[in-house]
Amino acid sequence: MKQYTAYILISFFSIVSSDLIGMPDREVVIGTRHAQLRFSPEVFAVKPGTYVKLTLNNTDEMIHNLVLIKGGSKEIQRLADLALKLGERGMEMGFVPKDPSIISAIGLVQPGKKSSIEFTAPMKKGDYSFVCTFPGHSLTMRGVMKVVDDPASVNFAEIKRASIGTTPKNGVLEVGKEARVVRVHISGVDSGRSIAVGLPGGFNYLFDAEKLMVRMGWVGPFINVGRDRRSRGGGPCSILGQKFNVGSSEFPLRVGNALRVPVVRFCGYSRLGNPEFNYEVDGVKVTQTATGNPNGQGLTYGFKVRDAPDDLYFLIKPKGLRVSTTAGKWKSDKGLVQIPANEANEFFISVEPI
Amino acid sequence: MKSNYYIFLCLLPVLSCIAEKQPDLIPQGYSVRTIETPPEVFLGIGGMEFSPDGDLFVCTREGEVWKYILQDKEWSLFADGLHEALGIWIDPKNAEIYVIHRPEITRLIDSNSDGRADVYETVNAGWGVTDNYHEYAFGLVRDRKGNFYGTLNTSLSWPGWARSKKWDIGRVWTEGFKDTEGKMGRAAKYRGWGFQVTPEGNFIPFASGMRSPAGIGINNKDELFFTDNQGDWEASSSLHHIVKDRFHGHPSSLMDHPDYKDQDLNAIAIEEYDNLRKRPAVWIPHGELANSPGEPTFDYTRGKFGPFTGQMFIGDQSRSNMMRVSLDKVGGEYQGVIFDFINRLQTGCIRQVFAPDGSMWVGQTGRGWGSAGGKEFGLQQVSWDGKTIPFSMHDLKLTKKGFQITFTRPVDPNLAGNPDHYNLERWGYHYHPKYGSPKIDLKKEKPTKVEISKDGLRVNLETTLETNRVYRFNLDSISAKDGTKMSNTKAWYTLNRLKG
Repeated sequence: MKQYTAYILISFFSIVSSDLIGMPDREVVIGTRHAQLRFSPEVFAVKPGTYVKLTLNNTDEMIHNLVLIKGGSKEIQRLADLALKLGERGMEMGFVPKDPSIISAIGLVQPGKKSSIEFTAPMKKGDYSFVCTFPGHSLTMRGVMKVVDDPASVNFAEIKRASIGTTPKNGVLEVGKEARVVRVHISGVDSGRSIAVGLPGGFNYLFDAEKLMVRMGWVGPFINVGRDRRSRGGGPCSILGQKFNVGSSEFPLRVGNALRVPVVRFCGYSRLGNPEFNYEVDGVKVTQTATGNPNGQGLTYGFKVRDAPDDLYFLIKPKGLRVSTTAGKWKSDKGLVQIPANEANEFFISVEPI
Repeated sequence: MKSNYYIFLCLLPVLSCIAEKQPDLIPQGYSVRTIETPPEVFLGIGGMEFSPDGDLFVCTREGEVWKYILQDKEWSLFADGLHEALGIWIDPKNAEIYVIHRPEITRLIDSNSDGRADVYETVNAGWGVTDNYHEYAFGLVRDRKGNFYGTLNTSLSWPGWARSKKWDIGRVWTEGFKDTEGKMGRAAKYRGWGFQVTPEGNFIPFASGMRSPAGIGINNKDELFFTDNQGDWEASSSLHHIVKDRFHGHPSSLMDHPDYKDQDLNAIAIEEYDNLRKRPAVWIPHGELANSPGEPTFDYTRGKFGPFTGQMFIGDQSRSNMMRVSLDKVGGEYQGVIFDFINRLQTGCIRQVFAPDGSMWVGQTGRGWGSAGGKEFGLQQVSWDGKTIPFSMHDLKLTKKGFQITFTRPVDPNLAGNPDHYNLERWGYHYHPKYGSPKIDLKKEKPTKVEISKDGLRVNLETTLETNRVYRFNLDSISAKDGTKMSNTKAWYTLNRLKG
């Protein structure tokens, strides 16, 4: 049986001290997480007045910059707005606006490239922010430079916690170490019973609890629920990040007959570990999970089916997708995976955009 | 100047501990305390219930469930990711927690006992729901047999408001009216119904004709009540007694009624709907008392909340006031009187629950329709001091020749004996697809006879009695025998039936 795990690329920052005059006291390398619109690490610490060499190592497939500023989230938002307002001049200026709050900045860095800058850390102790001001990135691509007397004492694990539960003012829900499961109406998805799932590692998908289908997947940041939680509520929300096709079909799992729309019942979900959806198809109990594919886009569904009385069928619209299964066979001409009853107890189906 | 301002700001929390500013209108002996909600959390309260341990659980429009431990003043998040949770019910026997939100009734289970729900079990999802913002699901009450009840908002259907034609299903305006009069409709199954979910899990459409039934309540005889909001087909806001198969007046829901399936609801004469409908038990006059009432809650505190045991309390999301209702069973049907109780709290009141100590906790949301006070959300506690009997009308009931008003304390017989001091008005409302109704056939008159009981606690009035009318009494010239002013001087009685 194949099992997939989502890997997170993490770049580590190194500390190099030097006695030579003109050389930096401290070198910091900030990487970018693949397809997640996140920096890595998101926190570093320096002593007041340290001469720092800061490198942006862009391991992502998208262009990014890094702007170090005085202030917190309000200032980040203001800077991001200023960057956006640069309009046509944005690319040329690296989306780095002219502003007194900026301590130092690295302009646009192409995918796979590095760029460095040197600066003297402020004398004033406290938290400073760094952010990618490339349009659309600032909501999640942000971090903190802590200016403290004893950088070694900073507990990074504690700081790296994403906000849980509550609705931030900007409406953006982030995913931390645990998956998030959020009922929501997503713009352009005609369903009153959608459930957005954000997995740690930047994979997200939308499960339709009425038609028991995964409507779409996306990589990167999770969702913005502002329009559901402002004013009268219930408004269409948006997915963040990059959407990908998963060949959604209505009532995709069928028992005994691939052509007949089954009688279904949604039974809820478990959030212990990777979220599991529970439902019944023609009275057969099913548990479904999803994980991200290690090489970019795509999802792998895990199914557990109790006492399948007959062969199962899982419908996928094959266009533009590579499909693989751990049980039975993928028939791309028919757009279905046929799973023999005796292998249905646990199996995995993977869909990947080509 | 600036530094003074900062000092003032620093003192504010201290001052608020000493004496919180009280509402302009509040009965003597009652006080309001504002509860601090968790910092940086939008807590638009949609439902409240105390657990058997005495902890308060609050579900929110933002889809979360928060637990509040009263003695520690400590909040913790219990569940999140729900879709506008507008009702909660906790089993007093085993502390199981159920919430109702747009898509379903969900049981929240903390299977690993870490204080956070991890299993979200779908109990019932028998109704239809689209991505129309107005399709709220309200609740949640349960009777002694284990049946759940909730109410389902109609869809916002008129394209001029909904900004899309996709929900334009089931709007009803009938012949003689403009099609734009019908605003709300039924874009999915059972919108505009009250429903029952049996202990076996079956969904039963229970009563129809609801428009925006933002609150449901149950009394200790398992009788159900809901409030509706003024709008199309709703002359004013109102309180209704729910009985199985009753039609409450808004026609869109009849699309899912077996007798009206496949019929053109606009081809049915308005008279047929008028005959079919059950009038509200109590009208809550729009503009003067409430604009968007929330849930009805009965006071079963046995006197811990003052002298109004057995009566019903309702809050309003728009005017941010609390009201008090006393029902009057006449000819086998409920009608009754409504009083203003507190006017006003900090923001829109839609939910309330009585704590084990007898205080009333009021859950608030000011989001979406503009609430007096202006705060986005909040939680306040209303307590009675346990000794001061406020001077107010306690009850007002229909008699054969007029009304009997009961007071909490003896009235000044000179003032209460004067028929000029009752400022009686009565009026009716249109039943039509238009948005709200003006008062019609408004008449002012004096009682023809006033009789005070020996103990000074009851006044019998004789006056003209007319059915399908709201009677308003304004007693602002009457004080107690000891000179105390009356706390709430107005009463609105809905007269549907005469005493046989």
